[in-house]
Amino acid sequence: MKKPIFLLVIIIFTLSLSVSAFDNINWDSNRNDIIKSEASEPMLEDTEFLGFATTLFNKTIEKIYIFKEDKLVSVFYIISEDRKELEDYLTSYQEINALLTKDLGKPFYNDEDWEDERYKESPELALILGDVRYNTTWIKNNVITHTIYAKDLSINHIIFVNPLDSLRETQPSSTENHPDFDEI
Amino acid sequence: MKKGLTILAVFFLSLTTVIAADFRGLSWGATQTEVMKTESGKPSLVSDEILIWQVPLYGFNANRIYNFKANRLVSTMYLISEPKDFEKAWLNYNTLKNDLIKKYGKPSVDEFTTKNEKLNTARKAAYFVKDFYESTLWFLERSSISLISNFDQKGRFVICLFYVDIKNK
Repeated sequence: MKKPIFLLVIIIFTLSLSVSAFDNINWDSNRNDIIKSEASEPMLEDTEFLGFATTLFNKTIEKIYIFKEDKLVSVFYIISEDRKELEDYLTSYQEINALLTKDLGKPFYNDEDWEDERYKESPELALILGDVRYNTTWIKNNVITHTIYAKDLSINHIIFVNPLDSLRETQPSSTENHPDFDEI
Repeated sequence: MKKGLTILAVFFLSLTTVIAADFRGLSWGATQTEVMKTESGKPSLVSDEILIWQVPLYGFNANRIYNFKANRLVSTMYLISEPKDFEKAWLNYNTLKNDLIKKYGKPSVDEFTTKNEKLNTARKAAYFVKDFYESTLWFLERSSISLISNFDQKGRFVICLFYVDIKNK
């Protein structure tokens, strides 16, 4: 009897971790901290990023950590999918949106960015042609954005996580005048 | 002595002309013909009151709009909508705003508002989720300049940079 309860506790604990994973990233981490925290070796490595092959919501993903001066500034979850049917990409986006909503609550923002409405009746076609981009954003301790769009007929399905504080005002630092300076 | 005075007068006259330039070397009150001389290419719209050129501006495709009253220039505007690259548009917009501050000094009004209070201090995050309204105003001796940006009902980022002849307001 003890064993099932113990397992249940473990499952609940794991679930609670996954619930808060997107919103509980330690932004003070450096590259070494991240390497230590991940179960596998990085598959991509550079001074500015680390990439790991892993799974999320039972899907194969690439988890990319972005660093600036050895300080974590952003995390991307790139969902790698090779679907036979175009509409499956949208279904996958909706499924992950539902799972994220379960984890993070109601999104702050849900948006369709239509650059060209020629195939509005066939959103899957519009998606692959790059006519539309779907975005869902949660604002918690972090800004979590789930997005799907296509570039050069290739689908990009990504979850971006950025600290809310890092999105505060940043002024351009260049002292040189822009070529259009005399136009304004 | 007379020659010296003439040179001085010409100098002051040219100085006044330089100072009086209100928009791209033009002064308020310029005629349509004078405006056309400063532009290259064909206008996309011509009427008695309005001339429009499509021009690049700070990485955006903009409409440069001249407004006339009785063939005298009274206001101009850059209207930018539907920038293609959302992330790049943010950088371009900030460069434009920064350059306006560099050129015209500290604005008299610089307001940024959001519907969600949590975003009031997170300007970029507000842009990111399209809950963003910003207005920046400069009051100069002869002109008022307004930079207004927000998202329209279709979620497109719209920027309006408006120059007005104060005397004709």
